[in-house]
Amino acid sequence: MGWLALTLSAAMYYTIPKVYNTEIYSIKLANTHFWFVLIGQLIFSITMWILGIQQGAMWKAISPEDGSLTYTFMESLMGNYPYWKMRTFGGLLFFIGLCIFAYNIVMTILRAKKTAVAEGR
Amino acid sequence: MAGTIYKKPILFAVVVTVVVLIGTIVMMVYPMLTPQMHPKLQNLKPYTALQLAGRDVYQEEGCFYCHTQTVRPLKAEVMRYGEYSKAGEFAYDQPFLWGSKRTGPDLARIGGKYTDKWHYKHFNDPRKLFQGSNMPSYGWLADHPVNPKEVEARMKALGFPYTKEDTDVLADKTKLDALVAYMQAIGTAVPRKPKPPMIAKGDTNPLATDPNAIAEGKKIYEMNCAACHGVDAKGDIGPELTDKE
Repeated sequence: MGWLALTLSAAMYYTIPKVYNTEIYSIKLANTHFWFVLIGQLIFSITMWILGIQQGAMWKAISPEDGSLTYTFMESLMGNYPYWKMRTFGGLLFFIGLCIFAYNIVMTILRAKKTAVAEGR
Repeated sequence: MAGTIYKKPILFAVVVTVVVLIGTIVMMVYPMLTPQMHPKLQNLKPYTALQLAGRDVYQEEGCFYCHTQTVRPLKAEVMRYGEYSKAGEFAYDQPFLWGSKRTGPDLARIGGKYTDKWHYKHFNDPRKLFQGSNMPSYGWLADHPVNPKEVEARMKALGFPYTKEDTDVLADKTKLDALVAYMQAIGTAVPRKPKPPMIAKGDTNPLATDPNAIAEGKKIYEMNCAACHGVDAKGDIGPELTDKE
């Protein structure tokens, strides 16, 4: 998700202005996009990473005293909820970043078309 | 003499193709046709028409996205779910529904674990039985009748030999009935191992009068048992547990 999304947007940041023979609408917005996506993705990855290890450990946990399972499945599921909430927040940041990116690209294209019309091309 | 074949690219390509094809047939296609590659447990029965309809509902609703149907041969997993999955269990599963993600628990040994009544209650509102469960409610399936024509077409496509009487039972069944019937059929080809009792016969419970243990036990009861036997142990889905004293 992070690797491909950032690579693709980088490619579009490079090619779209070339195709329309113009400059990108706003470098500042592009930077904002980068940080939103990066932080959103990091929250996403790290929470899921912790969750996976915690979930696996809870599924495997066996009481040393009587050899019974320590947690029920429901308890392991309840343990996931805080991480799922954090992931939602990370995903939200990611989505906001993508919206900024889309706005930036659309504005670049619109401006390029306007100047093209104005110059009678 | 032998080196000349390398100088004829087309002939070489043909010879290579033939050799590789022979290898593929001997090593792959032929073994696929032998009965050893299609194991079938002795107890395994084909799905009934209703169970097969339930299996379709299971696929329609995407249950396999959150529930697996394979118990791996690992200690904790066998303890949690039951006997690990055997190759011969899936002869009638086309396609198999092993899944790959357990947001909910594994269902490979769900058949016969609970009563039908439990399943209806759980599908209607999972939160009534498991507080905090994120399983969606599927009570609305009860408003959708099973389409016997559709089931018949699928049975024919899968080569299930059913008679008219077998499909007649579908007439007044809903999708929820079918799903519950399927739940009860999953993994039943492998006999359930009886759980050893926590306290052996003749032994006395060392915690019998310990008030801490009683409080702890009450918590466990409320978490795991109250849903079926009632908060006051008067019974609901499960039987009454009080000794009526």
